[in-house]
Amino acid sequence: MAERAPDRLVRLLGIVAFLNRHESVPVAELATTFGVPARQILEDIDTLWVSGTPGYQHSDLIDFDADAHDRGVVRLTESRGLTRPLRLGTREGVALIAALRALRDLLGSTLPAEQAAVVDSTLEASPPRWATRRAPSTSTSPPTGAPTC
Amino acid sequence: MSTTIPPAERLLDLVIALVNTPHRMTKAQIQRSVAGYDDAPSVEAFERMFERDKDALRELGIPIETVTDAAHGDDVGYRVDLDAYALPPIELTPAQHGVLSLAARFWQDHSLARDASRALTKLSAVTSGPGSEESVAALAPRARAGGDAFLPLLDAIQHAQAVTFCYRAASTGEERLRTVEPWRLVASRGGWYLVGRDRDRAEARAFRLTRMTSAPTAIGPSRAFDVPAELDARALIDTQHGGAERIAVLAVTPERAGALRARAVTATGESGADEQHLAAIATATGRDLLRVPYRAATRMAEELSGYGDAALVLAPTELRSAVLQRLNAAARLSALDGGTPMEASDG
Repeated sequence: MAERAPDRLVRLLGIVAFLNRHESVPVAELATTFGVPARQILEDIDTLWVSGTPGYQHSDLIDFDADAHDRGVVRLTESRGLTRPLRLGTREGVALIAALRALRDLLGSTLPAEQAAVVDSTLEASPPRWATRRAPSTSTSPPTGAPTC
Repeated sequence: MSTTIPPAERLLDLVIALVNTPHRMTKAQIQRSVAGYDDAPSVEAFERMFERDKDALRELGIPIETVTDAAHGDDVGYRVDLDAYALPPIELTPAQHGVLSLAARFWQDHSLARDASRALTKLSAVTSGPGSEESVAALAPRARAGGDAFLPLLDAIQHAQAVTFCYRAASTGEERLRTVEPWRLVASRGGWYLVGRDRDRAEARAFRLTRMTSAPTAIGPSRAFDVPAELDARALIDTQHGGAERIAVLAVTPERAGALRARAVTATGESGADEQHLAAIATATGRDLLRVPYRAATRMAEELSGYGDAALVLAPTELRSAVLQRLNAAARLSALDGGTPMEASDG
């Protein structure tokens, strides 16, 4: 199934943000980090390389070190302002946190202390700081009359 | 013929353009200059494309801001302030990243799978290195998510909003409408449970998601309640839905409570001082000593309170107090029925 455009966009932005924090990264390491095949990372880099601000002259574009690229290493030299990692949306945060809790609940006492500590630390590191704060919900329409069973 | 720019690339170019614009870009500027929009065959086609892209970006947590300019009247401009939607400074260890990858796969085919996987992609940008799932992979859970009930419950928990749903009780099989303040979803022994406060019963309850017979509906305002800080959800589930088998030691009036007698087991092992003590109590009151196994304390307490004082709980203490609580509540209710209202409602 073809990847949806928004999903790919999130990865493209994520790759730039990641590369901003790391000097030079082998393609294979990017592939593991973002959970996609190396071939996909190369396609993503190609896309980023020709993206930029209107005008789309060389100085307008996201740029990489071409020599490093030939050696299978990605080094970002121009990020065009995409330096900040994106915050999680509400549903995204909730989905991940619920899964983390479930992991901990399901594995519970069967986890060796060291591994349990990793799960716990991930949970502690997580919400609510990751997610977008959203204005109090106004959407849910009050049901007219209580449903019956 | 120009080659069409794929949507992901158009979105990327739009974000870069709106992040870098010194002030704002108008629709006309976007259509003219951002790669991918210039091949829209008409203004209407461009408008549709742009609206769709705005929605897509908002859903990803990159809202496009509208900037109106006094000097330009009705002329609306757009920009993106990425700093406002950036993650706070954090860095995840490879091990934590591994845990998150595992967690993201938890949803599998569920509608939340896409959200979880996008969340993981976003967080991958702030890991110090690729994660290793090995630390927890062997234990990867594959619990089935709780079907259609899951998403509305998550939303309601997120907003601290009450929900109603039809629920088939395990003890009676009876379907009833429940109104619950949802606190947390807990996976336990291969099933999902909603833990929360049952408003009608005014106490904490655990509901098995597979016994919900209608999709939960949110009712009332958001931020309607607080989740107790000290919440032992697992204990609650074990008490109400059965954990390890335990033995209730009962003193039962002769020839009463046949259903209990039918399930009674004989004492096993050596009878310690406690056992002898309990037997002595039963004999002294002219009752029979019964040992009845049970798993769910709540259900057992419901059953036992139905016998009133014909069945006294000698042990364990938790079961004893659960039954007493029910009997006391019943006594208060019947007092209310016959007496004056304790709480007058202002009219």
